Amino acid sequence: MNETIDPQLERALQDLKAVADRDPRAAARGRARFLAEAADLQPVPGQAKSRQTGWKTPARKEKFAMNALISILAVFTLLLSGGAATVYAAQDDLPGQPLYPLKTWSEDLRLDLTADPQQEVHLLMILAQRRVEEMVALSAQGLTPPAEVQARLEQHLSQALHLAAGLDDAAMLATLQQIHIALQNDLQIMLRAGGEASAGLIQARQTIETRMRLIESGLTDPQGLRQTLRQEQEVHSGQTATPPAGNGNQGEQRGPESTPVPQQTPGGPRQPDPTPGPQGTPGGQGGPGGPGGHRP
Amino acid sequence: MSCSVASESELLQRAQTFDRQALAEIYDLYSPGLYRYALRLLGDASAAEDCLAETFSRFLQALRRGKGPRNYLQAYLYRVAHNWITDQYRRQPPPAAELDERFPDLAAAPEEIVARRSHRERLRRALQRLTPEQRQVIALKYLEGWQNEQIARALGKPVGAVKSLQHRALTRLQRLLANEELR
Repeated sequence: MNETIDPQLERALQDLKAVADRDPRAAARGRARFLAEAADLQPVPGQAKSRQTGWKTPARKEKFAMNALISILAVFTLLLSGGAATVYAAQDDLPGQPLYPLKTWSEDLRLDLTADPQQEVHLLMILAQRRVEEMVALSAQGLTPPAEVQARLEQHLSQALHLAAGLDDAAMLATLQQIHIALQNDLQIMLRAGGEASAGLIQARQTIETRMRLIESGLTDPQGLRQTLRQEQEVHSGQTATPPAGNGNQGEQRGPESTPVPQQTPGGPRQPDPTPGPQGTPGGQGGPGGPGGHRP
Repeated sequence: MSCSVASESELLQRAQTFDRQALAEIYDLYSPGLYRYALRLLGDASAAEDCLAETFSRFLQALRRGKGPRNYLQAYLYRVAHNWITDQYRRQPPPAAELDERFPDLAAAPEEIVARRSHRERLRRALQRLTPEQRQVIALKYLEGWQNEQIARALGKPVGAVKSLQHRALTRLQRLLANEELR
């Protein structure tokens, strides 16, 4: 069979060969989606899908048991005193309004009662969206969102990332994807609000964009993200060793969440164990550099 | 891009157990070529991304059902991608080329760029009017640079049948392009 080709047609086909390179971010997202889908489809006999690795939230089980007990008692007290309706009514309050502290308290309660890390991340992203909506609503009224709201937003995002980093690689990548999508949605809410953005909104947007960049790096390098978060945690630990000079109106913080992404690591002593825990997916996880975290 | 038959076979065996690292290697190995293949035929980056996502998703689904490929993974993936593209052609014609398409001669005059873009679109339309197998042969041979033996594996046909398909495809393509007064 004759395989010769008309030169003009060959040139035309050659011309069709020249295409733009794939967008690296789209490539990273596609890869993460593929691996997340693989993790979902993977038959895991007798194992929880979102098992933890060695990177874990400190003393989480103990904290949960204690908090759950306290929370259940508190809920019963509230119900008996007719406070549930008050808590419900508080959900629409904005910062500065009388029932707002009750609203944030009930949110913390819900977080404490959530045992599954992935569900907790989901809840945190709902709460982050709530903070954004509060800031947008206040800005629309010509008010400046208080620093407390920004701090809470940072806390939600940081906590969500720490929880994601505690999952095995496949679950972590899937969770990071979900957080990224939620943050994109938050940015859209800010953009749709239009008008002149207040300083608080600008800061919130910068916080979200910083976290999105961190997530994007984590989608291609999960270990690198874990390391960054670990350093963030160390910075936070160093700061809490000496009381901060702030106004202290945050009360108790739920973990190492209110510290922004560190620009550099302080010169203080490092934790001795930056080694990630065992990567739990069956088979082939022992390669150098972690499983699939680094592109060839 | 491809890997040796032995290593591809080993990768496939590990992928069948949902070995994460093997799956990641497969994605890294074949997704760039598959993306370019889809983009050349579809002319749209977003559609090419969809094609890629669906191809790898179908691959995973097949693995899960125990019906994935036993060998020639690359050929399998291109076949799946091509089926998706063919379905896409049936649903809707390829859109106009994107503005950011890369041209070999960046210093070309604007009118020349426009003319070449127009020629590309005519060629895509002509390719669309070939039978799916003819189109696949042309795309794999002249756009991807595959050998006839590789194409034969992707189509599940003997090499002789591939050559015959190729001959008919080229003849028809030239006729279609002549009718469109491209040449």
